[in-house]
Amino acid sequence: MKTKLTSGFETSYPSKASLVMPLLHLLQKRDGYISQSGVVEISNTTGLSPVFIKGVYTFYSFYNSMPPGRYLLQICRNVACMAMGGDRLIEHLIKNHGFKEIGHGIFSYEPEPSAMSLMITECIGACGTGPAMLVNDILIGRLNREKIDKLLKDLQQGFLPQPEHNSINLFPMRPESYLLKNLDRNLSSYKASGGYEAFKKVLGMKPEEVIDIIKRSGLRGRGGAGFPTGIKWAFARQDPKTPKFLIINADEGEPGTFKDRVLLSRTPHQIIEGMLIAGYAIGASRGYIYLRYEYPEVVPVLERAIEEARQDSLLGKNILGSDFNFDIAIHRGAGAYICGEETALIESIEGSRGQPRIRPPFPVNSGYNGKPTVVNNVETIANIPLILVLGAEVYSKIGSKEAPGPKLFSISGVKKPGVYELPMGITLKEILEIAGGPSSGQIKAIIPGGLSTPVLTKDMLDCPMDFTGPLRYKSMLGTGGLMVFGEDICMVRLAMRAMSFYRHESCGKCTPCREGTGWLENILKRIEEGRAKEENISLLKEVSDNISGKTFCALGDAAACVIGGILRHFEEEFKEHIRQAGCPLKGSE
Amino acid sequence: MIRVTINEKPVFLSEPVTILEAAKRAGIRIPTLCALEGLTPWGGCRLCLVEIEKVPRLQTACTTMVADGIIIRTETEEVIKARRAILEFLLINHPLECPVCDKAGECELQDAVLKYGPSQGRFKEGKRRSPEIIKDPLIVRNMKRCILCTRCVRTCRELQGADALSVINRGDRSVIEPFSGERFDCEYCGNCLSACPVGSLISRLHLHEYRPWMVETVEGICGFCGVGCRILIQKRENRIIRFWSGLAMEGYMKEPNNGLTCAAGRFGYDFVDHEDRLRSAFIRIGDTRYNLHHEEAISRAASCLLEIRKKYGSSAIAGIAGGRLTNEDAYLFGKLIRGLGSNNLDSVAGLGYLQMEQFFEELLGPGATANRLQGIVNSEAIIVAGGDPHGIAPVFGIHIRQAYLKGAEVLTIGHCPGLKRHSTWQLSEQSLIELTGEIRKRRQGKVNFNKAGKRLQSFLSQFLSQAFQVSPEITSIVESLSKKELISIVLGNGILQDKEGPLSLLLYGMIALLLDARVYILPESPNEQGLIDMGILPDMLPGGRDISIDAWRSPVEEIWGFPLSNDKGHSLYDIIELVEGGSIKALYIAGLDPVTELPGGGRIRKALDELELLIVQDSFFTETMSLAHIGIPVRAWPEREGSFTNLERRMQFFTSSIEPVSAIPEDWQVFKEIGQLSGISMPYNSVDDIWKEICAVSGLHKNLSPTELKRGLLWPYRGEPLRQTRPVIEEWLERSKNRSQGLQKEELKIVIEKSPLLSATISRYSKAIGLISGGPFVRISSKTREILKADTEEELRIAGPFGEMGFPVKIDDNLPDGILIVPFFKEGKGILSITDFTINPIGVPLVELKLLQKEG
Repeated sequence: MKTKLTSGFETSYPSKASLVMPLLHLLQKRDGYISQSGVVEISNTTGLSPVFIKGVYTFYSFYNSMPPGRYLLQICRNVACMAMGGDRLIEHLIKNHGFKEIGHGIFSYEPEPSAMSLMITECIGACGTGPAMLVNDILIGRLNREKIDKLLKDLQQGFLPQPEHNSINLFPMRPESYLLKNLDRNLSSYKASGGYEAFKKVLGMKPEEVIDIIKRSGLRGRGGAGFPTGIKWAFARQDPKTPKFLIINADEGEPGTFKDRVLLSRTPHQIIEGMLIAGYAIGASRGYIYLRYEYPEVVPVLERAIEEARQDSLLGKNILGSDFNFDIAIHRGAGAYICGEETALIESIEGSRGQPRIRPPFPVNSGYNGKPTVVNNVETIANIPLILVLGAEVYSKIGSKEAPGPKLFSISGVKKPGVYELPMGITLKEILEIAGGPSSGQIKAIIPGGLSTPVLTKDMLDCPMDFTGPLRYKSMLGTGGLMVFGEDICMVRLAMRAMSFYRHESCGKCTPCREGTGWLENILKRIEEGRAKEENISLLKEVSDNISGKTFCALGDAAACVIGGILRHFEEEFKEHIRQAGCPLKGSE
Repeated sequence: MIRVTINEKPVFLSEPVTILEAAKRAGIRIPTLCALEGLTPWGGCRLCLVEIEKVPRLQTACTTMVADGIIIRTETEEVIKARRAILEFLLINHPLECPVCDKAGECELQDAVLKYGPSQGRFKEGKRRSPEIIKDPLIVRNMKRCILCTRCVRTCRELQGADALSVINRGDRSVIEPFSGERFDCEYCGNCLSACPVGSLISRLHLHEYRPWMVETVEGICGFCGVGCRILIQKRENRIIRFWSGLAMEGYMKEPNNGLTCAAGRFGYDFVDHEDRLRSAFIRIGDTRYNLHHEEAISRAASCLLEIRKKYGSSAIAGIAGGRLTNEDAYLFGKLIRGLGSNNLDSVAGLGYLQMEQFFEELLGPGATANRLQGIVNSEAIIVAGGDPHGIAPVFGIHIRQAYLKGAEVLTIGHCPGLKRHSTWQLSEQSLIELTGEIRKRRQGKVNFNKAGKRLQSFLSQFLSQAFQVSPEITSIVESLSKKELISIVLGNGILQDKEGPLSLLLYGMIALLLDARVYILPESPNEQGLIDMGILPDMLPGGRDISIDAWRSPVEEIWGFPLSNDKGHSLYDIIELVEGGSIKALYIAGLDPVTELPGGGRIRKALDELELLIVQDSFFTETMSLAHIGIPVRAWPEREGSFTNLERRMQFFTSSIEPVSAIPEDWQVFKEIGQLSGISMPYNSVDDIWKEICAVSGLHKNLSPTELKRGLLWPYRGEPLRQTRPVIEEWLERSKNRSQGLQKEELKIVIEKSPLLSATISRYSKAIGLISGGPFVRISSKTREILKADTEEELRIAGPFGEMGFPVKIDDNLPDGILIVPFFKEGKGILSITDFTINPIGVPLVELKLLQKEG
């Protein structure tokens, strides 16, 4: 008899439909995959039809529709890992270890199918230690052929590798660090260095006063769009509907970005304190952390921190004797880049396919369950206690004027990859000096803020990294996921990989994105493989023009924008591919 | 007032609507694919992009609300370029196989591409491949043609409430699938077929058999149940190619069904060609049937009837009508039986529908149960009892689901599988007293009772004043209900078909009074209301006028040209008993198969065997027909013209859409001929002629012009609104006195279920419906199985006084324990045909079935 799919989270959500993803996770844990009988069980619990639930689990990459082998290898193929040789490793793994494709990017291990399965995934947020993979949710980085061969041998003998997620290098700001000041996860240590003092101060203030401080601090959202946080809070506060919700967007899916992973796993109480302050300010009593599936090691850290906070009367009812109630639940994603888009994230937490919603109404008025909802990025929320401690005026003097504060940069492709805390507005040149230049040779290209920000070249190193700086080179700050590429990178291949990512992650709701991203990938593939003609370059431009500005959400725009950026600076390389009927860089490998 | 400018044309709007809607009102067409009237906006296909001045990006007209002063342009160069781009994207993966696609000619993508699309494709790679999936008996799924507009998914979810389809996978790997990925195993309403703009969901029944431009379309009224859906009957060379609905067709989204159909109304049309269709009239002598021309059979019927009258007197003749007769048929049938001098005239309406209507009219006022279906959708709370609306009148059930999806709270009382996922609370029948008591406690003093209400209240106080424990669930239900303004109560015959049926009805009456609720009654056949309106009752004349009152009698006698009998007529089950007793010798049954369809069918069969003359008139060779001395074939509903009056009391006319299978008459033509041969004046050559007379005879239909009639009318049909109904409540209370024990729980309850896929009467003759009905099973919970020690390998045998039937067992843990759900049919044999009947105090027949337990 199978165990019933229940645990304590039934009371964590205002509606039964929200239980779908947590129950699917439990089902996968129990049965190893999403079994049909399990789906019927979930249907009975939630009242949703079985096919609705099927629509949900097939939307996400990490719910297995088929039973995988004992060991599930999930290897990253995104651009950062690719540039570090990841694509050749994948080839090696498949060819030399006997994996055979049985579905979209899913491989079975021919010598012993029940032993192992392989899944090619998009960015798993380990760009600082790439090429990287997950083995049964254990992160392993800095892969090379030897490491992979040894891993396979170990797995055959039943040895799981040691987790390496703590090996991401951290570079707190000097002389004074703000966000990476205290990297001890314990509550006692966090409190000893002044943790939760900001929240205690807030409990004696009016919510409007708190919002006013955040507004005056000039804090802008760190998720990519840079919307002023205080204004967002004020909108939700002003909406008469109740209850209100706070959701922390920890679906850090933008390739090249891994800063939130560090914040969550190293400074959990800083996040909880930020959430408490936000919850108090907007009038929410429930907060959710929408955590991407790819960060399994974060779960126990957060769970422990939340439990510590509950024990210390920092979460729960009548917090610290006040009449403020607030609690936090972790909602795990299941592998869908689009869920980083806030309305898709809300759909997902509501138990649906994570497809973006029509706006307006905006989440601050009609978000989770139709109620006012603030969705903040992890890094944004980490800044909140800091602002309350320093005061709006002091905070607003850190970094650049138009977007003050410390900024975390996830930097890969350099000699010293890792997460850097730097002031807003620092130039690319300065960043590269600190992080030590490209890992090999000369700089060819820099993606400044995650894959979706257009590429820059070595002539643009004077670019200040804040919300306005990169605009002069038609790019953006994005998430601050900085990827540096050396001379051996083929820009057509980079574009192709990027497009394959957008195609894979397109939710499929709107026509131009669903059909256009795949078309672009196809054209790029033709160019890379030497099957293209000169007119394919103009077709590339026209197709991306036809996507641009016509899609439902920003994903399609991002895809078009990436192509635009690469063609702007590297069109000659595309033409060279066509002239040589193949990749000119291929021979140099 | 909102003023917007669309293509330089000022448009004024009183409320904020989408740009698409605003343009439509201004007569400006914006092309769409994913938008569909009645569904929530999706914004996915992007074909409706328009330009708004001062807005940097193009916006989708289907999702953007108008704002005062905005200037919209729908045909600029940029918009046209965007449209072309979108269509080019769609054609990347859409195969250009229009010549072999059934949809070509009515394909929305084809139309859009012709008008706005690129002339040439630039996509050189191979298209997405995915084979046509023909794993379902009725629906072919072709995913390579799918443009993922999700209209089918949203229709299934938002309109049908079935949620049987979903988009599976993500991005360009997305496909539309039912849960199994193969068979749909759904409710087979087929509304997704109408919703699909391309050829991705196609009915297998007419695959590759036609091109849309080859079919002729007739707007019709579906004759399968009491909703009376408007459907489109499409034929080719006198063969029905398909039933289609108004969904997604401009100008066809009309009440009562707003473009929706059920399984029978979508796929059940092949019943007209069933081999059991009666194609020739016959007479039976002994065990031998002799075919003869229907004219001959008619003259024999007339002479036999006259002979019986001569031999035994008029009261030895009786007539029983089914709910498949049109208003015109019913009117003539009544005139014929009364013209033969008998008031022994009744119909299936007396199985519960009539009693409920009479009761509520007296309690709440004339026309109290004449409510539009739209009112269900607008309700804030709905109480459903006495049957599953989704089984009895499927599209009615869908309206309840839509209300639920819009936020209404739904309370079901008793077995109601069709609302399983669309009900807030489920209670058993035994909770009714508790529920009523609690409602009374909360609402008493806030409602003024009329005389009938007061009488009811004092009668019920013996039950309601008892001290009883009220469960917290009922307390919270009542608390929630008492906050609602618009409450509807939906009642099926099931509430009456019980020993305590009269008590239940009184309790529901009390609830309706206390909550100020609208009441809907569910008829079990298409035209029960019409039978009542046309006077197919022993004691009522057309228009609901009491036959015992001279002021009503004499004008009718004058028009009809014969005196009405003074004898008191008998109701349906009294007639059966009089047949058994030998005083009724001749019975005329029209449009009904009592042996299969009526409670006590087994006993009825035996009684009918005693008759000297049994005339049966029907479209099929039914069990009852097999007992007939004279059998007369008539047309099936798609072959006929006339009118039905649906459960909203909406009178709807229809014309024949196909020629009959062979030269067989309409019901009314048979009655006319027999009447004329019996010396009754029947001066009609068409239904219009009949209506001239009805409008003179019936107060309800007074002075209606033919055009008014043809347009369709809601009760009171613009006639004289006051109906004279005899008070019934006092009489029932008297009869129920000291007989009611209160509602008790039975240890084991056998419930006969009418499935929406196999509704009792006509659709069982559809082979298409047979393919999806999933076989006859007795369904029980696992616990019940344990109690019964039932073996799932063996059949459970259900017995009545007139035989037994065995059914395989299916475990269904959604069922309450101690309940056995038995299907209405097994291989053409009705479960009722093994039953006896008893009659409860208000004249409703009850049946008793037993489970044969294994010995030892």
